[in-house]
Amino acid sequence: MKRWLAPALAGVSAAFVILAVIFQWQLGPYLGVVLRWVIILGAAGLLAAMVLLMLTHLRKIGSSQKGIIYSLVLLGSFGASLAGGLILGVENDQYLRWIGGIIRPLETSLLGLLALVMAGAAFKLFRLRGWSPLSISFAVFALIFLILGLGFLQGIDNPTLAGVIAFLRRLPLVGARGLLIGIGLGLVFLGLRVIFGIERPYGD
Amino acid sequence: MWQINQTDALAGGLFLLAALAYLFTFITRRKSRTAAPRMPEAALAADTLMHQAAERGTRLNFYLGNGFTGAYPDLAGASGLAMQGLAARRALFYDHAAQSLAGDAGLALISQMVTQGFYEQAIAPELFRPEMAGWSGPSPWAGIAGFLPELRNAKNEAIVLAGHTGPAALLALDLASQERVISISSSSSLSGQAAAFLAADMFSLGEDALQTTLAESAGAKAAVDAQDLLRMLIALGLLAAAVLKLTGVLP
Repeated sequence: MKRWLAPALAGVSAAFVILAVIFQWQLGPYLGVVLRWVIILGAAGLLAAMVLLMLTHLRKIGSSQKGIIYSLVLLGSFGASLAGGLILGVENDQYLRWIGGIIRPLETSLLGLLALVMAGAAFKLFRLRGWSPLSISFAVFALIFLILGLGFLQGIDNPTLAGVIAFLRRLPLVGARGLLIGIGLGLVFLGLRVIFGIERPYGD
Repeated sequence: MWQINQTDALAGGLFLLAALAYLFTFITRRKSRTAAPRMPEAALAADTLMHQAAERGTRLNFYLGNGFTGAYPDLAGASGLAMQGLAARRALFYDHAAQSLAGDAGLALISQMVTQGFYEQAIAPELFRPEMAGWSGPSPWAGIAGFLPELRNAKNEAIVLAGHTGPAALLALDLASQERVISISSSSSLSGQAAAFLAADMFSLGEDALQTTLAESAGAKAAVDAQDLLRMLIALGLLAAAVLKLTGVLP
């Protein structure tokens, strides 16, 4: 028997079960069961990944590899968060404030950094892509939306201008929808390739 | 109780249409045996760089995104697995095996199992190290922050961002450009594709971003053909709908 047959059979049967659960209303309650299985499996996977991550960093410390300090910080903060959660409980306000007090400033600073990087990348775009129609239209529309964002044009009482602004504001939505249709189409074919066993990242 | 609405029926119809288009292109391609179809830029670039890495004694470093089981539970998040699997399989006995990190625990575990499986198939399980496929963090920011230190490794030939990568991917792409490492992006999210347009050396957009394997089998080639066929049909449908709307036929 070919090696791909078993995963392909499992994929096709799982797809049929899910379709039956969704489209046959008598089987509706089973959808909840399937979703609960997914949540339980996901949580078990998270636990396993966490253990593997800790083991990897313990091995790094054990073999005195470069960057040992980062592994020590990671293990220390993991241990402290775990102990806090076990002692105080994960719903405890003080514990949540403590965790949030560390995570939020870090994520916000990364967001700030991203804003700067984004502005820099916009300037570097022409060096990377050259003066192509795509890069020129990107620059033109970035400028237009920057001006629109200032709000001066909206202050002018002119129905024609208001119509033009409304039209321009709809354009990003149109582009996004086009890309989303494409992503949806790609996703359908990815699903078909997986169900029929054509996409096999696990090997032949 | 679950009720099928208009959107469900439309989704079901589209899925059926896709399956039929796939069947049609599969049959016609088997008969015609034409050359390989058009392949997305990111998949082709990754394939070329895999060979280049083998010659230079370097490696490809993957970030598989933060989708699949956590905050963004969909199959698109796992689209990078195929490309990572191909790179891992080709680099089994190289000086520096391909490495991958994921910002999603489930994705990290699957990529680790897949990589370990390749070494066991090759009867060399002792060469496998868990660091070859790991978990970089539990949130989109933590995931990308965990990946950033890997970019400073001198053994990187290229970095490949494939899967659900958000705007935070721009930090990795920018650092790669500073480190003079080639960057490839095949993101399944809109913001990830926008970041790729700004800073990636090679990237795929739209449906191409989810086509991360090279069409090696007849089935994979047929999938690319069917995707192109359906894309054309959808474009024609949208144009027809626009004309009908403008002429007042559609409300």
